[in-house]
Amino acid sequence: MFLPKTKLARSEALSGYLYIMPWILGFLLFTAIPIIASIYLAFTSYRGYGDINWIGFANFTKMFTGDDIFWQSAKVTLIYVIGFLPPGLVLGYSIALLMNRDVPGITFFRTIYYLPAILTGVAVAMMWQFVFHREFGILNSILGWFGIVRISWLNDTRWVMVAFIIMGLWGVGSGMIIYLAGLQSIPSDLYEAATIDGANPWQKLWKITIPLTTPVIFFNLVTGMIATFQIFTTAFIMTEGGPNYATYFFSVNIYHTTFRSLRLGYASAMALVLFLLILGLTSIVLYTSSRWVYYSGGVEVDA
Amino acid sequence: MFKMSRNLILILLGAVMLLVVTACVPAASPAGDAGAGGEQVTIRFVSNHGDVEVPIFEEVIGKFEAEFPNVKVDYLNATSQFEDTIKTQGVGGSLPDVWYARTFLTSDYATKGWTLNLASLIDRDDVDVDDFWAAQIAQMSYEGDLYALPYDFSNVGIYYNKDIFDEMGVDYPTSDWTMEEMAEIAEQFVEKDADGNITRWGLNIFPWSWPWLGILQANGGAIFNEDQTECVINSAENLATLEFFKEMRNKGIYPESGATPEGLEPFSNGLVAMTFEGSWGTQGTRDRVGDKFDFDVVAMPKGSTGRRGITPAGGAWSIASTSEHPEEAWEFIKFLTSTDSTNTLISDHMRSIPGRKSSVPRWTEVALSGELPPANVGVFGEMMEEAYEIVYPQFWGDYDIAWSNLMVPAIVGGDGVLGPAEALEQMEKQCNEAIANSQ
Amino acid sequence: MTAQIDRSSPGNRSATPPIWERSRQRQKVLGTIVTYIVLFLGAIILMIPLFWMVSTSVKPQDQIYTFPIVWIPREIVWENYPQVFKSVDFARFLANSALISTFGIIGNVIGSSLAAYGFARFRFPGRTPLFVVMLSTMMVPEWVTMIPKFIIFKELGWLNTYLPLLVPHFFAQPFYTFLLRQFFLGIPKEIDEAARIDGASTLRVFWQIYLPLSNAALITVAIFAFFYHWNELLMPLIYLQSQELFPVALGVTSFISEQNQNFALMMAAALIAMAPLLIVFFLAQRLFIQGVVMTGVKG
Repeated sequence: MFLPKTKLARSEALSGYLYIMPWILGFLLFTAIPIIASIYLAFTSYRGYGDINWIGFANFTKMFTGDDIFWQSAKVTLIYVIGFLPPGLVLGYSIALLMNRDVPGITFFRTIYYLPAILTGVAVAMMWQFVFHREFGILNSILGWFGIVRISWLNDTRWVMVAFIIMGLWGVGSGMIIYLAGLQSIPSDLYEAATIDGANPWQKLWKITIPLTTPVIFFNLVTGMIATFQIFTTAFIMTEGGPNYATYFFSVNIYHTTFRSLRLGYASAMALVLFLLILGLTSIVLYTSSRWVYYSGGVEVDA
Repeated sequence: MFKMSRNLILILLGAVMLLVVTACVPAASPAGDAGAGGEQVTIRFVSNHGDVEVPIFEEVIGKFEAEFPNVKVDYLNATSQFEDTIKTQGVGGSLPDVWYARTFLTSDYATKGWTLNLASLIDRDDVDVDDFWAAQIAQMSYEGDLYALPYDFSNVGIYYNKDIFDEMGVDYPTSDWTMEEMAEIAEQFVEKDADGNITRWGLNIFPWSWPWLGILQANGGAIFNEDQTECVINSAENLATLEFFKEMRNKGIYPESGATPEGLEPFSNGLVAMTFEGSWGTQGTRDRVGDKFDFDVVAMPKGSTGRRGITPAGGAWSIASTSEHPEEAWEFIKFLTSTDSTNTLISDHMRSIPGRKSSVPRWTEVALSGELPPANVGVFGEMMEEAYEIVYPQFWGDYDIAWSNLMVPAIVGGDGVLGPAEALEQMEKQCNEAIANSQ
Repeated sequence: MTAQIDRSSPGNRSATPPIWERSRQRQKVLGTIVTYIVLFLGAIILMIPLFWMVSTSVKPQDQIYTFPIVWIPREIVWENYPQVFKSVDFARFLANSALISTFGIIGNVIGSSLAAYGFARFRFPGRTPLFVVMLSTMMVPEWVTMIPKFIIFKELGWLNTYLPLLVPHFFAQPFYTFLLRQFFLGIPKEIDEAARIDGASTLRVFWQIYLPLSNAALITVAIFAFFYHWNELLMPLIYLQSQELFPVALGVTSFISEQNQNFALMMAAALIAMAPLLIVFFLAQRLFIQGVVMTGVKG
């Protein structure tokens, strides 16, 4: 534990606390209590009415040994994370590199690429159902040019996950603008100096661009992980978790358990498990980050 | 801009916070007005309807407020995630005074103690309960007492395209028909193109959970046991029904999932000769079909038991047990469900079958005026007399999710999905899980 | 860490570029062409689904349900758009959304940047654990905290106001705080120290150095915050009980509900709800491009 010894260090520590006070206050007022309530509920059998009965680890025992749907949720969520996150990160970064070029009309392109990220809701879901339709969907038409047989994307337990990954990648523009902000912050003198030294574009990418954007890569990786594990809306609107629970992600499961059955105790228990899972994986990323994330400010951080 | 002093910043921050607080003074009057007969009282009323119904509700509310000048109705139409909102408000203890409670949820709300038991009020004010449909009374009751007053009631019939029938020289179906006859008739309309793709099917079905309660029972299969403490859906009769439908699907009698164009309504576009359609679909079908072809409606066919597979479900109004103005709320729902209001809300617009039998003549009158098809629209009311008296259990929400995940793919097909036998097995398992969880 | 570029004598640039310069120019042109091709291809792929939405929104009723599907309708029917405005109090909803979103941006930018500054620039006991705690609050699905939060706000008497939607955002949201913290960590310590030595307070340093240098990040936060508040559906639904307080996202759902069969109207309403976001994003691009060019630190 870092303890400030000198007067200067103590004053610095005090300032630090002062500046994060907005977060601390907000956390205590609005976040801590609901989260603590939820953790408490995980050990009860509360059903939204009546008494709150403490049942210890019973929810967890049931979850791990007697609930097939729980394991199904875990499986499909993990598959989605592994299938979507790496391509998503790479694609987002690549597009951001493209968007960073100072060609005329780039503003227009940036808007187009960012557009999917702001479209939400039932209208978009309808649009996707149109794209993925087995007989008349655009995707199958295009695949048909390559002689690939028609796939019933949203009704096939094996392909529906691919459809979800495609839908996720369509919205990769939101990660893009964060990368863009990072790219824009790199001083252009660096590139000029490198050119003078005879560097080619590939070297510039690997020696300047990527290292200097590791802070935002790190950000997108962590927030991406956190968000991807909680994927919900698309499955909720389009497939209700099916067919045959093939898209019954963790969040969908928790939602149904919370609002259809109002089994708040059990839902809280599942949320706790999900939370610990995400926390565990994120901690690993955080822990290794000091080795590959470079902050040009020269400040040491542990994460 | 960057030379501002610290004090100025603090003042700015404070001003912004102040703005936030003042800008957000509640715009609506709180529902907690002191009110004991005679004083001004406001009740919160929430519906879950489409935007076309809103003006009609406002009309009825206007009439109510004229008759009860001391009561003001604060009306809100919540269109999306309505059930979640009600449940959150339920747990949080701030339910509206009156809200739209589908009969699927009667026992769910009642077991949680959120809805007011209306039995004593009904006796006191001599509400004509016989005017309600027997099946709907069963659905709006919990442990023998009514917890809601009815809005509308719905069931499913079968529309058929008379032009296609004429073209193929097939006789129109009569209400005596059985499910096998339905399949035989429908098969005659199946058409394929040169590549073997089906371009016309015989029938369009609903794979939803609630109509299928009736369909399964009509063939002798049960879903729950007597007191709904156990799920028995995995039976030979139900398997036979599912296999029967699967065979129909394989012959192209009804479309597989993904076979019909998205965003296209099959019946009005001549893609199917017959379709399941609800009692609420009269106006919509007329709009979509226009004058493309002539059509009519016939009752659901009989199953192996000789009974038709008619499952009713409906909408109703409940009062919050935590309401601070139960008297006024009670007057309001009585008004909402009176014959006059029912005529205004439902019969005049052919929403679905009115929740009152005394409103049916007006409904039929409106339906038949203008002499638009379907001529036999009165069949929906007739079917209601034969409907199964189904009560939706407290765990219906969980049942519904399991149904759409397991049974719908078994009915409409899909690649890599469970077939009827495995689906039934899984369904029974999940259903029993749901029952266990609800204890 | 930057090299000094000697621009002292303009005569350094010769009239005829050396060979390696020429091939570099060719590379540049090639690069631009390739860029455009890729951009266009990607844009087309992204836009196909969107085009369907627009196309559907202007179809007359009987062409939506035709077979085979019509891409460009024979007659363009614009009436869906005015109808969206007529059917609900759209102007009011837009105003409400604007109000909520504006305060949302202000709150988020202020609160999150202050907290980010604290996490980035100061060393204090428990900094990393607190940071992890902050991140971990993002890992809890919102359903689970929704009901307890509702009860809290109900006890505070904030039901049917905008307060539950706005006040928490003045207190530093983890997502934005994390983002800004990453940017603040990229600002050279030396500038900070130089200013402090000159006698500036930490707040002054924040205001005059950190904020201006993180322009791109702050705009990103503003954009995200704007979109979040504009599209927010569930929170307003639960907390707002009077129709006149509704933001656009809620007002529009009466068209977009699953009960609705009028696809054209649905698409039109969705596109109208989305239009302000597009305009804002496009305009914000101007600020984005200005970006930051640091001249670097000598030595």
